[in-house]
Amino acid sequence: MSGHGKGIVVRDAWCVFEHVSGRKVEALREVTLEIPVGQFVCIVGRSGHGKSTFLRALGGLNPLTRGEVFVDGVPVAGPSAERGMVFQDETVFPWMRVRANVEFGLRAQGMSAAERARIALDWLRRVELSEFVEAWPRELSGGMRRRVALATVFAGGAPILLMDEPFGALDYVTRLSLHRLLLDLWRNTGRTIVFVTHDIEEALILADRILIIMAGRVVDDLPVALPRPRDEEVRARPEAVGMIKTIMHHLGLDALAAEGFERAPELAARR
Amino acid sequence: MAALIGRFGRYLRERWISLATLVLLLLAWEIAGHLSPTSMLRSSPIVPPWEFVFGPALLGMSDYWTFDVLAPVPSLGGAQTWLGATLAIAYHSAITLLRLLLGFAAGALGGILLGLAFSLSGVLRRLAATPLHILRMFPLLAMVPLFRFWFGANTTAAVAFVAYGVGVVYFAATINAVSNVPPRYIEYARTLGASRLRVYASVIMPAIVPELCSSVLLTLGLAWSAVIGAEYIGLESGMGRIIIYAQYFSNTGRMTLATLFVILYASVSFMLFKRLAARILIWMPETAFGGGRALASRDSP
Amino acid sequence: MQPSISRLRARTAEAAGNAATGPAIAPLSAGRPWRQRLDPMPVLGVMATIGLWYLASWLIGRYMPPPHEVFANAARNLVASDYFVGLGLPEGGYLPHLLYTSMTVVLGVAMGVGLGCLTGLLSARWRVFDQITDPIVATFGTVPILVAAPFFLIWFGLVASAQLILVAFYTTVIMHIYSLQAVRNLDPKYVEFARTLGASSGAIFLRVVLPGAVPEIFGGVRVAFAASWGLAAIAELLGSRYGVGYAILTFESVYDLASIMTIILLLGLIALAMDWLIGRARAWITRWAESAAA
Repeated sequence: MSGHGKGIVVRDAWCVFEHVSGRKVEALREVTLEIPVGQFVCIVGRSGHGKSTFLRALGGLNPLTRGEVFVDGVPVAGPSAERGMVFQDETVFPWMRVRANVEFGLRAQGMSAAERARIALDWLRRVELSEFVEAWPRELSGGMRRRVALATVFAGGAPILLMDEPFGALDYVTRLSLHRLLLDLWRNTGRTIVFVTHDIEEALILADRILIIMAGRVVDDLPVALPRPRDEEVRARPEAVGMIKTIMHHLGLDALAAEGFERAPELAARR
Repeated sequence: MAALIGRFGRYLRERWISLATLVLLLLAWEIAGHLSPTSMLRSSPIVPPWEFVFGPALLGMSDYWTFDVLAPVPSLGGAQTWLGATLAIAYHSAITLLRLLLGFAAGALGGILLGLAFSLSGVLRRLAATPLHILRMFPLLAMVPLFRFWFGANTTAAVAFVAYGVGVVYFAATINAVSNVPPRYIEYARTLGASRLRVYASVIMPAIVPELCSSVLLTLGLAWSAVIGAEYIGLESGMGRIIIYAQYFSNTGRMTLATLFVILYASVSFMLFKRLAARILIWMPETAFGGGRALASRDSP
Repeated sequence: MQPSISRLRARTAEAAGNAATGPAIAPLSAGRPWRQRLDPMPVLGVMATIGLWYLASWLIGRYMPPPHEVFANAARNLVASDYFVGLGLPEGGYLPHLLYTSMTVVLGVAMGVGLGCLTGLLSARWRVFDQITDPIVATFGTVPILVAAPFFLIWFGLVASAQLILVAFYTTVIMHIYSLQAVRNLDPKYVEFARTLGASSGAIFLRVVLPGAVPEIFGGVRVAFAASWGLAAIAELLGSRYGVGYAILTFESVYDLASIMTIILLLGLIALAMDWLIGRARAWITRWAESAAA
């Protein structure tokens, strides 16, 4: 596998942390994969098994102990505007109004004020926050702040977007609306998205492809063949049920998988 | 042993710039000491070089020894001796430290007790809030003459002054800490049948200890300011008084020497109090009150 | 789509500022927002304190002048006083002394804030700078700043400069510590996020680190002010020919306890007013922050 070509290429990546006590933790082991341009990849796995480490390595925030990550043939050496990130904690600058937040990446690129404002307002319209352009982040709800974060990274123009459980702290309904929004934005811009989540249902709704990371290794790589557009009923479809079972098996949740498998149609009918 | 040396070596390597700065400052002082003008009217140069500080100035400390026992008393015509100097320093240091510790203890105890008493009633607590806030804004050091007026120029005045300064802070801190205890803990205890007193003893007191411990260093600094300030303004004994007395006669050598001792005592007291506070925090049963603060959280990467 | 209510979360800066001056007790009763405008508690509290004062005055007698005597003294001698002239103080009552001390404090703090923030931010940015300034800051962070007072008096004379330099020096140390801490306490996720948006180091410092550090830095300003009033007063007590300290010395020489209490009260009120002003300034500048728990 060469390092050239578009998209993301990861080659034999290892990430080893050393605790203060001297104990070594292998957060990532022998990860090798390719992500073509425009794909929506979800990474699923149990907490602490390396999902976030992998994402941060892609973003250039965690240096790899061994191996390389190439983006468009260029090795990743640090964070850059080419790889935008949305973090689990709210990544909105509280001391700037909403519009200033969205303009931040643009300003870093040296754009003129008028041009920045135009782009920012456009993206804010796309995330349905046009009425809150001059609001302070503290006046917004959690879901709205996520939209600001999405607008910010999309406006920044990064062709690759890395998201680390961005919707984790939100309630179910808000999460669903954000799923739709994200899929809209993805469809209209054709960017590559790598999305970490622990929520299997979320992965099935969003992803073209699901990677399962356990104990730092990629243990499975499942293409998601469900037709789009998808909704929350997706988990009742037979193809989805089979995938859920496989994923849960990998995650070590076989007992739950059995129960879930039997009850899934009922749950879907109840909603 | 080798490990200790290794650690010390690493400590030095990491901090060499700081240490170098310190050495440079000391050197600069020495140079300034030699360059600064002396005059017949002053007993020491404006900036005293170190050999002066640890030489004649140190010897001169025996001037402050006023008891006619163990060493001659210069003010009565006796000679200046090293023994006299040592005794004088020991005596005045002890006085200063005594005032500091007594005042701190009295203030902390009084403040905490008052705070707990006032917290018993919500009305009392809210009543006390504004006056306490106003009182804390009154400049402490400006009140030294007041205390001198009331108690005279003696140790009682100094102890009362320190106690007041420390007490006000602890009074306010306790009230705040009690009102910061999450109500659900108190409610929980009440639903388990605890009487008000038991709630105080087993829920509120442990809960406020961390918050009070965190203000220990602040109040210690305050207490030092108070003691030195009180001794500057007209007390007859103590290290502060030595410094000011020497300053009247522009005797910078003695000033520097006494100040160095004060710096030493203050630094040591801070280290000790920090350790003490840490010990108390570990020893207090840290249950659900955001416990284990001393332990770093071990998140996986 | 409705805007949600702003969430309440304790601000680190507020807590930090409070940890230094001691926690600020909200004068308004917590948990009863509908009473905020009409809350009688502060006034009642002050009245209760004055009542206690009367009680103490009645019990102690000569050594505790009653409130009305002190208030009358303040009113009578505030801006002009023959009594003062009789004592050898300049005419103009308490005012010139209060002004003198206040100017020293405000000027000294302003100088200290400028210098201290500069050194603090530089130390946060470059480790070398931090290591150089550390010995000085560490010493004077613990040791009372008063130990420097006699030296300043000798080196800078009995002129205003000694007090000014004392206040400025103290404020510099405090602001250095606070700005350093403020930068270090900033949640690293903000800087990370800014880097993934392609911002340069300089831009990150100016538009992410600095604004984020402002709340905590203001906490330091409050602390610096709080202690500076006392510092200036005691420096004046040690040998000035102007200002509150000098006035107190004069009153002491004629055993005028009431006037001493009056002038301390007046200085305290000025300190209070200043603290309130800083609080308002901070509230406005950090109006983006989630409000502190009341």
